[in-house]
Amino acid sequence: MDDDSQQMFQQECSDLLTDMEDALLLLESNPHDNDQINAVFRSMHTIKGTSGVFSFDDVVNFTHVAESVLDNVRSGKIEIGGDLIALLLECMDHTKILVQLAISEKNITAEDKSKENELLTQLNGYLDSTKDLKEDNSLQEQALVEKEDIDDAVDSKYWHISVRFDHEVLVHGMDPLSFFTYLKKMGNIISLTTIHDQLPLNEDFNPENLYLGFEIVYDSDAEKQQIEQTFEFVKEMCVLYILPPKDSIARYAEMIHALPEDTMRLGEILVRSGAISMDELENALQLQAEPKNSKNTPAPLGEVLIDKKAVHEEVVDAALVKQNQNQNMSKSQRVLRVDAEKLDLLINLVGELVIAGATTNMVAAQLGDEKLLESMSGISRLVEEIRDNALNLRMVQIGDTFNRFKRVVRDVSRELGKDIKLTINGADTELDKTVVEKIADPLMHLVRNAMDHGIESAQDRDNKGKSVQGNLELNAYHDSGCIVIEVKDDGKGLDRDEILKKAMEKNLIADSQVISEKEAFQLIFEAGFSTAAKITNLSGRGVGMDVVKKNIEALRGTVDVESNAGDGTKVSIRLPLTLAIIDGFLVKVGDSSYVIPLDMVHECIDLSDQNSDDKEQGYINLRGEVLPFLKLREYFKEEGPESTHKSIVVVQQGNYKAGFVVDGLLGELQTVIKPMGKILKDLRGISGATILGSGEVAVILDVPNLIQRATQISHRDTVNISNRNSQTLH
Amino acid sequence: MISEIEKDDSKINLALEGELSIYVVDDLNQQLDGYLQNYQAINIDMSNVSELDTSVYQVLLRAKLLSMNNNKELNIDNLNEISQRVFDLYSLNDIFHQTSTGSH
Repeated sequence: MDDDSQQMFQQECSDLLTDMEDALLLLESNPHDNDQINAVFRSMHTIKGTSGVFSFDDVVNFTHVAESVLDNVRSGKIEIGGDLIALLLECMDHTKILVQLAISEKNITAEDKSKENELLTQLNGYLDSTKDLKEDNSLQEQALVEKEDIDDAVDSKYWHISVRFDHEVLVHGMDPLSFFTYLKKMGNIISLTTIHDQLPLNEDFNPENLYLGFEIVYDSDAEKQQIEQTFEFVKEMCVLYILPPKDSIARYAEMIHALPEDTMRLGEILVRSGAISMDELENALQLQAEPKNSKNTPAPLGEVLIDKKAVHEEVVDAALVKQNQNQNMSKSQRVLRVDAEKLDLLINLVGELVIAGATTNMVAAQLGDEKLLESMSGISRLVEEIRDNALNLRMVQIGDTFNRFKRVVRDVSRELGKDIKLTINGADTELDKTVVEKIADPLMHLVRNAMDHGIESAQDRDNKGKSVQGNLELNAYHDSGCIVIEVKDDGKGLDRDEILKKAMEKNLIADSQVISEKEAFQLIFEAGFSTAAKITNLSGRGVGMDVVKKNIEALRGTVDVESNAGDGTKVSIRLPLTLAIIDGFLVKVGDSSYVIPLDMVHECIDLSDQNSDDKEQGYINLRGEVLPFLKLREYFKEEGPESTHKSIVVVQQGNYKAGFVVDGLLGELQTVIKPMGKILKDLRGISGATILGSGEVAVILDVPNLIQRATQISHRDTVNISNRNSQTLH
Repeated sequence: MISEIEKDDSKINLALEGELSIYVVDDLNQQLDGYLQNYQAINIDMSNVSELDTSVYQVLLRAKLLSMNNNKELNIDNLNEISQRVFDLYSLNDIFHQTSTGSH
């Protein structure tokens, strides 16, 4: 299996398994939804078919049994309910494992094998129950036996021809013997079985009528159409099915794969590959058009063809894969799958282009050549557009990540014996693929926490007068250059006093410390805060809330908690949209340059205009609003020349604002974020570095962290002042 | 088409000859029905058959099945090359070689 095929197989299985999971979860709420039942069957069936094409026997063998059960569900022989859905979900998980093993060419572990056996036993239990039903129905049984007999008769190398002539065929001068003799000219009749069940032994017998049917095993290199042409003269007077040799399945599959990739329907694919003839297609389409049942839903063409023994199931599967590919190809004018590494390389190069552009701009400015400056301005605009578009290439919707939680919520609810409904909002919100990948684990922990510790048991909720069903929301939206992801529950909420008590016990805060509600809730993210007594197997997955916070901060994000006792908790994660390039605002502090992400810059004001008392206290009065500020010179211990005319850059993140005191404002620039080395990665207040056009390195400020610092310093000073005042009063 | 070679009260030896096709099948069927009613054992010699089509083969098959059902004997003997080819193709020689079961 080459890499492309492997990737295609893996992607297809992954998509099908996701579809299957979605359909199964929908079936839980509405077990009679035939569309979903069909969707689950189709997914399992296609995985089996595709695995067959690649000879992944383990996958085929397992999915075959699951597919048989689903087929019985479709035909109404097995009633689908909670237990079977749970079993099928487990089968889906196991199929995922088998597919992975098949791709990596590894053997199944003893543990997985034992799980497989357990699942097969349960699946066979459902199949056995349908067999009992079948025994009561002799007609069905007879049909089954007949089919099995015919199947047995088909040797892998040979054609199978099944022909039933009209009774009047002999009267019209057509003797089957002549057709069979002609067949012998193109190949060998390996066996011919004469079916005489319809031959009347009573007076109804008309000797001039033909009552015999024929099943022929035929060895020939002829094409299907040639074989069919043998019966050309009687095609209006017979029912003819020509099933190609099983050996040729691979050949047909190969031919199907080799077909030009234009949009074709299933029938066209099968005809063009030679798997069925045009006549067979027309007959099947005619049959398909006839209402099969009271619901007037036509059976899929593939099923009609298989039922009519026109083609092997495997060939139909290959054609369906091809059809999917074709559909994907037609989509490809809009969607193209690109290796993530290639995208990363492109974005890196765009980053370098941005830096080189900045250098050229600077040189142009130094030269003072107007034409050059004008030309550079055009190039800069284009570079900016290229940058934005390149970054957009990495943007993916968060919906796929959110959808994973449907299953988690379902499983965990059952485990906890709670009834929890998950609502997803903003699934189409886009963010950088790397961020999406890295946020999945912290989100998982928050979701589990909300279900385990947040949402109360049905009994407790009932006692509190809440609806018995708990609600969990996953929301995503864009807000000032960031994406905000919320995990919101309507559970019991956080108990501020309890948190403070625990924090004091663990010496995380001092007894006398004045703590705001926001700060109190932030304590849950402190290492070692976990309330060990409450840890269940759900939370004990080696990831504490402190790790959640660290992971989010590593993405230059912040996490915020709002909670009302009794009403629930909302954890908001705020993340930058991208990790690679941003628009920055360049400021000067001493000899050094600093970059503030432009999205967060609210305004710039002159520090000298401000009241000097306020300045000493670490905050200013900004149009009636208290604005804490941070002197970057002091914070970063800059020793260069100090400006007499300082400015405050007002930054905002969410609802929080702060000011940074700087020596000079140098303006906007495109900033390529270069990660800090390992030694510097834990530095607070710095999220990365960038190279300026001059070659100078500028530090990119971690604004959320610095806002927090500014607020804390200001708050501490305020508390100290108020403490001093109260001491004075006493 | 059909001639009686030898007979007694319970047994008759017949010979089928010439072109046995749909043109003669109705008569042949009636005659065979008659013999089946009147005799316990019938032997049919096929050595002089010059043509045998599916309709005749079907009549012979039905006669054989009837004989088995009625606990009688019907044997097809001396297949020449022409008739042998048809009998081989249709692959029901097992039935033609069976003796009466009496319970069918």
